[in-house]
Amino acid sequence: MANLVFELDKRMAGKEPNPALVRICDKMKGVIEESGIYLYNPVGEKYAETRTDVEANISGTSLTNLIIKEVIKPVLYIDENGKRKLVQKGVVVVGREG
Amino acid sequence: MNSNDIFMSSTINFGIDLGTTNSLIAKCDNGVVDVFKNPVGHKETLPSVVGFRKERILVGDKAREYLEKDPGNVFSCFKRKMGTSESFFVPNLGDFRTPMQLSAMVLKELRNFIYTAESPQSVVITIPASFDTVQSNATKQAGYDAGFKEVVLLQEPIAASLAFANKGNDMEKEGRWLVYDLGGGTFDVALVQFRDGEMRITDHEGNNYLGGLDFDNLIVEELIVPYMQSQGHYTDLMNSLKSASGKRNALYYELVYKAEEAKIMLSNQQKAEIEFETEDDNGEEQELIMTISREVFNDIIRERIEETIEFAKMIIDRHSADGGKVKEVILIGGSTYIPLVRSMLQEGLGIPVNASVDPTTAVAIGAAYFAGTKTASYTIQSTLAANTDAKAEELQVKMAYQKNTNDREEYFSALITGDTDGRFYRITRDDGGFDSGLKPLAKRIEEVLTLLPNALNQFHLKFFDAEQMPLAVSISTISIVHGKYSLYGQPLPNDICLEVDDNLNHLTHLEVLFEKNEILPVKKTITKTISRTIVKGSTDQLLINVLEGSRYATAQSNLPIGVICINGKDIDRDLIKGSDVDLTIEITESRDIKINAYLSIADKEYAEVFSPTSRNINISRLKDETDYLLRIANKNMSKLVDAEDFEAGAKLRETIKQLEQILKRLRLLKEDDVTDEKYKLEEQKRRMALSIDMAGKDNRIRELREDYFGWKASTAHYLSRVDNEALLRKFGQITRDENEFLSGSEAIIKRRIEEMRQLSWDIRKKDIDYLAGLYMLYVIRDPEDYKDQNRLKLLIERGDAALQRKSTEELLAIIYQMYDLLINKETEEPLKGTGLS
Repeated sequence: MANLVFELDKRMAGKEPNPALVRICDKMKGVIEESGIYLYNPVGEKYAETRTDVEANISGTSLTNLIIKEVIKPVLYIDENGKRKLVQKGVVVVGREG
Repeated sequence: MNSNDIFMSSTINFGIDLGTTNSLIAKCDNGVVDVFKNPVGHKETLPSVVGFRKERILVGDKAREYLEKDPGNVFSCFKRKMGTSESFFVPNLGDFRTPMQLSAMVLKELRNFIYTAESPQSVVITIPASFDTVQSNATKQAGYDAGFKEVVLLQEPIAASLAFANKGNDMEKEGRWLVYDLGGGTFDVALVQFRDGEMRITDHEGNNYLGGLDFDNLIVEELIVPYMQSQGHYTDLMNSLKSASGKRNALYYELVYKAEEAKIMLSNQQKAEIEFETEDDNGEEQELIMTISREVFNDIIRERIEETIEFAKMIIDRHSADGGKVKEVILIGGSTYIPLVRSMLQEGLGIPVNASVDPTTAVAIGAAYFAGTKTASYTIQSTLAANTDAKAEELQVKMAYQKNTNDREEYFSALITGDTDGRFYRITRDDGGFDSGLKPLAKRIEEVLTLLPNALNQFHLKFFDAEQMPLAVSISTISIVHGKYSLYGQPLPNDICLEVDDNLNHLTHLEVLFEKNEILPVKKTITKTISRTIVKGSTDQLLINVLEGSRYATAQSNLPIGVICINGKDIDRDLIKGSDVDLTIEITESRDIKINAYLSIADKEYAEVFSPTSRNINISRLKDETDYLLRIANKNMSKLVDAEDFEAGAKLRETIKQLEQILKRLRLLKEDDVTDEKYKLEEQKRRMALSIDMAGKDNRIRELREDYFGWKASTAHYLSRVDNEALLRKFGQITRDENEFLSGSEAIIKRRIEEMRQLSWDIRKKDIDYLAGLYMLYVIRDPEDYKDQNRLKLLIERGDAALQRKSTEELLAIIYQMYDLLINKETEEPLKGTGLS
C-alpha cells in the first residue's frame, strides 16, 4: 500500500493533477502514517556506501560524488515502542551529481 | 567449566548455509528452527559478497552494490574457488585475500545476526555435494577463522532433505528423492537416498552460471528492449542501456529491477505490467506500459529450464540400473516458484514435484535441524561475556559530535586511548539505516553520520579484535537530534490535541495530534467521522476544536488555540452522521496554526489560520462547556456530601457559584462582542474546570481504579473459559501499560474501563452458559414489559431451540430482538459535544 501511494505521488509530481486526487493521495499518506509507518523518499540526497537504508544500483562509471537520482521503491520505517525501525530498504538508482 | 559458559546446551543448535550467492544462519531450539534476520534491513539472506572500499570493509548488500563498478575490490562467488591455490589481489589493501578468508568474513557477519546474546562455539556449515576433501577442509578452516571452535560440515542437498523430512507430515520418506536447487545464480541437482532413517547423496550435477538473474535479463533483452524499439526512435538501444557510459545506464538498473518484480508476479498471476518513463533519441518523452503474459515469459525461459531437466535426467539415467524409483522431486531455491519450472519438471521427468519446504531457507533450516541433534564439544557463550580480554578493557573513548543539528549529515570523531593496533570499529544506527562497515581502529577515528530527518538518531560504536570478533568495551550511545533548533523552531511545549466526542461515556475527550516535544514545524492529516447529523439550516454546529495542554486533562481545562465552527445555517446540505471529515492541521515554526477541514459529503473545504497571539473563542460553545461543567460540579457535589468530604465540598461549592456567574455573564454576551469579556470568561472557565478536576479527584480516581480492577478480574475469569487467542491478545493490549494509565486522568481510566467492558462482552457473547443465563433473565420478565406478546412467544420458542443447539450466534440475535421488544429501555440524553468522533 505504501509503495503504491509513493508511486502515485511520484506520478503526480511536476504535473497539475486533479485537486481531489491530491487530497486522496494525502489522505492515504495520512492513513499510512497513522498506522505507524514512516514513508521516506530520499531522491536528490547524497549517496554513500554507509547508507544501509537503500539498495543502490550505481549507474555510470563514477563512484564518487554520487546522488540518488531515481527512487524505485521508497524507504519504509515503522515506529516500534517509540523507536523507528527500518522495514523496507529503498530501491534507488544513483549516479554522479550534475 | 569456564565461567563464561552460561548457555548450557549439549547440542550444537546453530546451522549456516554458506551459499555461493546468499548465506543464512538458523538456530534449532528444542526442535523449533528460527532463521535469524540481518539487524540491518531485517532480511534473512546475506549476499555472500565482500567489498574492500578505500576506508572500510563491507559485507553483504552494500558490498554487492559495488560488485560491477569496482570489481577489483569487491568479491563474490568465491565459494567456487574454495580449496584452490587462487587468491585475490585487493588494490585498496595492497594485499591478497584467499577465498577462505573471504568466507570467514561472511561467517563473521552472520554471527551479528544472532540477536539472542549467544556466541556459539560450535556450528554446522553446509557445503555443495560436489566439494572434495580439500574444499571441505577449506570451508572448515573458514569456520575456525570466523571464531568457531568446532565446525561440522553437512552437504547442501542433505540439509534441504532434512528440512523436508522434518516437515512433520506422515509421508513415507524411505527411498530415493531428487533435490532440485535452482537459485538466483546457480543450479544444483542431487539424488538422495533415505534408508533406515539415514540419508546419503548418491549423485549430483550442476551449473554455476544458471539461475533467476538470467531470467530477469532475458525479460529485459527479449521483451522490454524490442517493445521500446516499437514505441519510439532508438539507435543502439541495448548498448545505451548496458554500457556503464551509456546514456540509459540508470534506466537499465530500473528495468532489471522491474523485470524481477514482474517475474515474481507471474508466479501467481497470468499477467504482469511493467511501467517506466524514458525519452527516445528524438527527445520525445515516453510513458511506457507493457504487459507480459506468463505464456510469453515461459517461452523465453523454456530453453534454460530444459537444460536443468537434462541434468536431472542424466543423474536418473545413471542410476536407473540400481533399481528403485525416484519418489518425488524436492524443490529448493527461489526460482522454483516459477510454475513452468514445476510443470516442466513433472512432465520431463514423470516424477511428482514436492514444494512443501521454503526454497530460500530450506538449507539453513536443515543445517539447524542437524545441529540440534549433534552433540557439541563446546558450550554456547554469552556475547556479553565473550572476548573480555584485559587489553580491551584498557580502551578508553572520548567522543565529539554535535547533539542537535539541522544538517542531514553530522561529523563524528573520537579519541581512543589504549591498544588500537590491528583492531576495528563499526558504527551502526539503531533504526538500521546506517552502517559504517568495519574500519581500522586508530588513535583518532572519524565518520560522517547520515541522519534521519526530524528524529532522534541513535548510533552504536563497537570495537572488534584483529579476527573481527566483538570486544566488550563499554561505550555510551551516540544520540543526535535532527530538527529545527534554529531561531524560531522549537519543540512543542505541550501536547496539541483535538477534542472529540465520547458518546459512550457522555463526554468529550482529547486525541493527541502532536506530542509534547515534537519538533516544529509539524503537519498531520487525519480523517474523523461526523458523530451526529448536522441538519442544513439548523443552529447545530460541527466544531473542530484544537487545544494545547495535556492530553490527560479534560478539554475544558486545556487552552483552545484554534477552532473552526461549521454551522447548520452555513451548509448547503445535511452533514450526515458517519460521513468523513478530512482534517489537516499544521503548526509552523512561528507557531501559526493552520486548520483545513474538508467535508467529503458536501465537497466543501474550510481553512483558517490561527495566530498564536489571539485566541478564538466561540461564545455558544463556551456556554455549552460552562453549562456542562456546572452539571458535573453539581453531580460531584452530591458525591462529596455522601462521602462527608466537607473540605472538598466547600471548595466545590465556591466553584459552582463562580460557574453560575460565568454562565450569567455569557448569556448577556452577543456572538460578535468586540470586548475582551469572552476571553476573561474563557480563562475563568478553564480555572473552574481545573478546580472541578481537582475536587474529590483522589476519591474518584480510587473508585475508577476499583472499577477497572473489578472489570479486569471478571474479564480474566470469562477469558479462562474460552480458548481464543485474539481475545487473549486484546486483553494483553488493554492491560499492557496499566501502571501508566492508572496514574493518568479520569477520562483515560474511563476509556480503558470501557475497552475492558467491550472486551468482556465480546468474550461473554461467545460463552453459551453466560448467554443462557442472560436469555433466561429476559424470559422470566413480566410479559407485559414487552410490546408484542405474539412476537415474544415466537422469540422464546426460537431461543429455546437455539439453546438446545448451543448456538451462541442465534441465541445472541434473539436476546437483541427481545431487548428491542422491551417497552421501557433506559436511554440517555444525546451528548452535545463537537459532532466529531
